[in-house]
Amino acid sequence: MSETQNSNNYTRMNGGIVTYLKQSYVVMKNEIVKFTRGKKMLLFTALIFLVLILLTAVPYILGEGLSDNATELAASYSSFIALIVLLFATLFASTSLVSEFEERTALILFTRPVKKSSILLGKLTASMVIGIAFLAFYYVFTSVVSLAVAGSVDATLLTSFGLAVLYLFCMVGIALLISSVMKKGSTATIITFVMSLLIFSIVSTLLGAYDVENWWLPDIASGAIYDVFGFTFGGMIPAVTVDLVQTSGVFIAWGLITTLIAYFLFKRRSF
Amino acid sequence: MTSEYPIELINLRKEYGTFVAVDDLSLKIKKNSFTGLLGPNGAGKSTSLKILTNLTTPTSGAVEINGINVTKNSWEALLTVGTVVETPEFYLYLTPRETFRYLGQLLGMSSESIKYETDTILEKVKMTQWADKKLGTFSKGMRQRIALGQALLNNPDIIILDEPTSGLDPRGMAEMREILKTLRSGSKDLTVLMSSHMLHEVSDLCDHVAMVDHGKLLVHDEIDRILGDSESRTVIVKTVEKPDNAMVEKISEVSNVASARLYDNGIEIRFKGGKSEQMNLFNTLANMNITVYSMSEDSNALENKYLSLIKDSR
Repeated sequence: MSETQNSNNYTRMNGGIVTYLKQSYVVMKNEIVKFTRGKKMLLFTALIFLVLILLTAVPYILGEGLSDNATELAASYSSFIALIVLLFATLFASTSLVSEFEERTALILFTRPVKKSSILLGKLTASMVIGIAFLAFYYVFTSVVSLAVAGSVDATLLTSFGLAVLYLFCMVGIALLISSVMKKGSTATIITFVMSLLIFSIVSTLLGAYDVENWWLPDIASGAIYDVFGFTFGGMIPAVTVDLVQTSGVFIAWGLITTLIAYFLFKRRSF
Repeated sequence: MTSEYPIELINLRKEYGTFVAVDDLSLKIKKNSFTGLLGPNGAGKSTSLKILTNLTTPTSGAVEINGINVTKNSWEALLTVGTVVETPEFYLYLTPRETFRYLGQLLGMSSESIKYETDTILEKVKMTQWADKKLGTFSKGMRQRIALGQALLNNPDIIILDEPTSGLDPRGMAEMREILKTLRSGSKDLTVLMSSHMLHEVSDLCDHVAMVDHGKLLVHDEIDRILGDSESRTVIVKTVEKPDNAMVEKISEVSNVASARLYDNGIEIRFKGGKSEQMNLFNTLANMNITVYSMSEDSNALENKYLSLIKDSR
């Protein structure tokens, strides 16, 4: 398809890959503006600060202070990452598709020459960009504290960050899938939260109890974000060997499959 | 690509379970026409427009815009189309200017084009002073004007409107109609398809009308021809002289006049024939030294035709 010139003398776009990516980028920018101007952003930022303040201040309040072991310190901070990612997906990604229908903005957006795949890609990218920004802030804060208290930073922190990003992709995919079928944003949020926190845990516990492999479940795989430090907390908790390839594969597979299903459901969805 | 009939509905059928919303509907909208899609609630108007704007898919049949199948290739089909379907909502955290920028960027417009079009359109829809206020603070009427504005953003060749004055207060309705009138008069190549169940609105704005009921097309033609099919027409005549019974009596005796009566500071005249007979009537009244300063068609004319067609279809 070629570009066409209209009477207003501007060139109408063609339908190639560049246009497709440009439209995704425009959708992503709008999603980021939506996040930054919304109350959820404020709430989530406050939550992150609260977690970091508690992790840093409580040991001093209890008179112990933070550990001067860089690995122990990094492990203690990273133990909350999986929960933070889960909350992020619940708060942000779970409403991103359903809100277009619920808030009737689909009547403006979907009647434009914009492919639904562009919209989905834009929303997925926006969730990833904001999520990564929050994670980066969390890990940078951890590194700064580690430098100040332990005098060094455990290099494994970078591996943990990489796994956290992949887990974010996995959880955003699941949230988008739920968002693509729900009628109300509030329902999508609740189901994403319950599914991620409760259903996966029940399934993985039951599978574990019956000696069935459960490593492929996101909640089990997410343990690697902390386990990667191999820290045992004085031998009380046995160290777990992390298979980085397998764990990364689990996150990527969940992210890709759920996003693809979300796309097909979103594409077929009528207003 | 443009054709003589830029909008075509071809044997369109849409089922929701056992309910048939659109039933084998075929309709060709002529280029540069302003067509009103009339029908009672549940007649299939909105469903047809939703299929046309790719918000839903047909059970069978097809819709084409400029010869391009909307369901199969919505991207290309909607490239030159502006739409206002139902009462759309906006991203309430954005201002009108930001909204137009967002939609303009999606359409691949340059920053200069977006700025120029935004300023022009906001003036056209009388929202310039609200350009930088958050949409969340706007009334329904203001949002509807922005909705119409965004439909004009890519300088479309085709505009599809689904009950554009629905839910507005009388002032909002009047303002919206004024804007639509300026669109109609101001544009060179513009085809408009507008659904409504307000007959006077269609009568006021449209030159063509398509009436549907139970998802089927009852009639589609120029409004004048549809009304001309009737055996008689009714006009309201306003005269400089104060109308009285003697004047009414004189008019009653004019050939083709079926009846005349005093009506709302004027005279309601029912006569046989179409436009040429109406022109003859005007001349006859002038020859009778009755100074006519206004002769308007009775707004009930379309309603009568509509009601008779709806009645026949049931």
